[in-house]
Amino acid sequence: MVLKSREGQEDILNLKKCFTGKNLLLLFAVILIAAILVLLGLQLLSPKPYELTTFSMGSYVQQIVGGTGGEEAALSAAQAVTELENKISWRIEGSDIAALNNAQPGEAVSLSPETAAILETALSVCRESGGAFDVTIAPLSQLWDFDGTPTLPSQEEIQSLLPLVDYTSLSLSENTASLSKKGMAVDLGAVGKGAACDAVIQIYRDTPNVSYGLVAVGGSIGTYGKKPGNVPWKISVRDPKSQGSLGILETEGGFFSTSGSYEKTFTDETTGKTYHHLLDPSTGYPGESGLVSVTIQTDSGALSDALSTACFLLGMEKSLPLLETFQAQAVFVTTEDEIYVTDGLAEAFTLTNTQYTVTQL
Amino acid sequence: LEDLSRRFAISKKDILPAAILLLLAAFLFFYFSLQPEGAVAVVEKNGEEILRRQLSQLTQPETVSVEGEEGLQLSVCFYPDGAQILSSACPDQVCVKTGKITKSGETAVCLPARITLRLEGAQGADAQTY
Repeated sequence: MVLKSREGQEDILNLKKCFTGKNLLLLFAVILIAAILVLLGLQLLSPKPYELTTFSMGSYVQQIVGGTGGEEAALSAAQAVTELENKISWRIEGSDIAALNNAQPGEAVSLSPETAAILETALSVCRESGGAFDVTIAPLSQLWDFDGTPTLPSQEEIQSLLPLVDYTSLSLSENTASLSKKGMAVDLGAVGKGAACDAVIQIYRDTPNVSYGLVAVGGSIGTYGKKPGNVPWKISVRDPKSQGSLGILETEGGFFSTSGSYEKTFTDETTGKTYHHLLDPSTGYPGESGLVSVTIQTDSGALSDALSTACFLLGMEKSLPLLETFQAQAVFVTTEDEIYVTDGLAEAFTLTNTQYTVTQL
Repeated sequence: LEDLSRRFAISKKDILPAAILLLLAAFLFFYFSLQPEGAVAVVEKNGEEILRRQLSQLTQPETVSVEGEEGLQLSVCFYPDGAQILSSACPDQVCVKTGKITKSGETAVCLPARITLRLEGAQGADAQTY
C-alpha cells in the first residue's frame, strides 16, 4: 500500500509520509551531519586554555589556565613562584630560610607569612611522621649534594652531622623561627614545589574569570576547578623503570606529589652502589623501605610534597596511619613491582604498564 | 538497487542524493573520529615554543638540531609514536637518559640547556607526577 502511494509523490506536507521511506533516510543523514557539525563547532568554539611554561625552583613550571582571565592569572602565578623561591630557598641570599640558617643559635628570625605557613605544614608532618620527614635535613643534604655534584660522604662525616638533624630544635611561633643548635639548617627543598603549586592555585582562585587550571612545578601538580564538560583531570604516574608512566589517575582534582628513588641518583665508583636523594634523617643514608616511589594526593601541595617524602622513608605499612591523619590518598610502588592504591584512589587509578600488579589497600 | 528501492520505498531518482548525503555524513564522522590521538611533540626553550610536530603526520623519523642556552647543542628526534632527545652537549645527560617519550603529558627535560620536549594530546594525561 505504502509503496504504491509513495511512488512519484512529492507530498511532504503529509507528516506520516514524510517520516517514511526516503525522507527517513534523508532525515537521518541530515541529523547525522548536523550533529557532527555541532560537535565540531563546539570543539572549535570552546576557547583554548592559556598555556605558559616558565622556569623556577630548578625546574619547569607548566600552567594550563582556562577562562578569559587565564593569561593574567598564569603570568602573575609565574611571578609568584619566583617570589616564593626567593623567600624559601636556602640557596638564595636574603631569603627567609637563608637568614634563619645564618642566625646565631636561639636567635629568633622573622619570616614572611608565606614561609611561616610552609614551615608550619612541614613541621606538622615532621611531628606526625616521628621525624621520618625532617626539614632540618640541610646539613646532610648539603653534604651529599644531590643537586650539585653528589659524592659518597665518609661514615664519620655523616655521623658528625646526624645530631644536627632534629626538627624538635626548630621552634616556630607566629612569624618568627629559631634554631637552637649551632650548625643546624633548614632545607625546604622537599616541600617547595608543592608550596609553589599552592601559591599558584590561590592566584587562580583570586583572579576573576578563571574557570579551571593546572600547574606542574617539576613533578608536583596542583589543579583548580573542573575542565569543560566535567572531564576529570588526568594525572599520569611516572614509571620508575621506563621513565614513561605506569598508570593514570583520573580525579576530581587536588594536589599530587611523588617521591621516588629513581629521581636524583649517582653511582659511587668504589662501592659500585647507586644512591638516591631521599635521605633517611635517622641514618643519614638514602632510605630503604621497600618502596621505589610514592604518589600522594591531598588538598594541599606543600602537604602532598612533605607526605610523599615521609611515606617513602617510612615504608608502606607505617605510612597508612600517617595518611589517615592527613586524609591523604596514595599510590605505592614497591621494589617487587607491586602497586598498592589506597581506597580513595582505587577507582581513579588505571594501570597502563602491565609489568606491575595492583592491589587495593 | 531495485530491492533497496522497494524496501525503503524510495523512488529511484532520490537514491542518489540520499546516498550522497549518507556518504558525506559517514565521511565526516570517520574523518573526525579517526583523527590520531592528537599527539603533538613540542620543544620549548626557556618556556618559549621553538618547534612543534604533529607526530601522526610523520612517515619516518625526523631528527632536528636545537640550540639551547649557553650554546648547548641538542638533537631531537620525532617518531610517529613519540619523540626523544638523542644527544645533548649538557654535562648531566638526564634528558638523553629519559629516552623516548610516547604518551601525552610526558616530558624530557634538559635543565642546563633550558630545553623541554613534551607530548601534548587530548587523550593523554594533563600532567605527570614524578
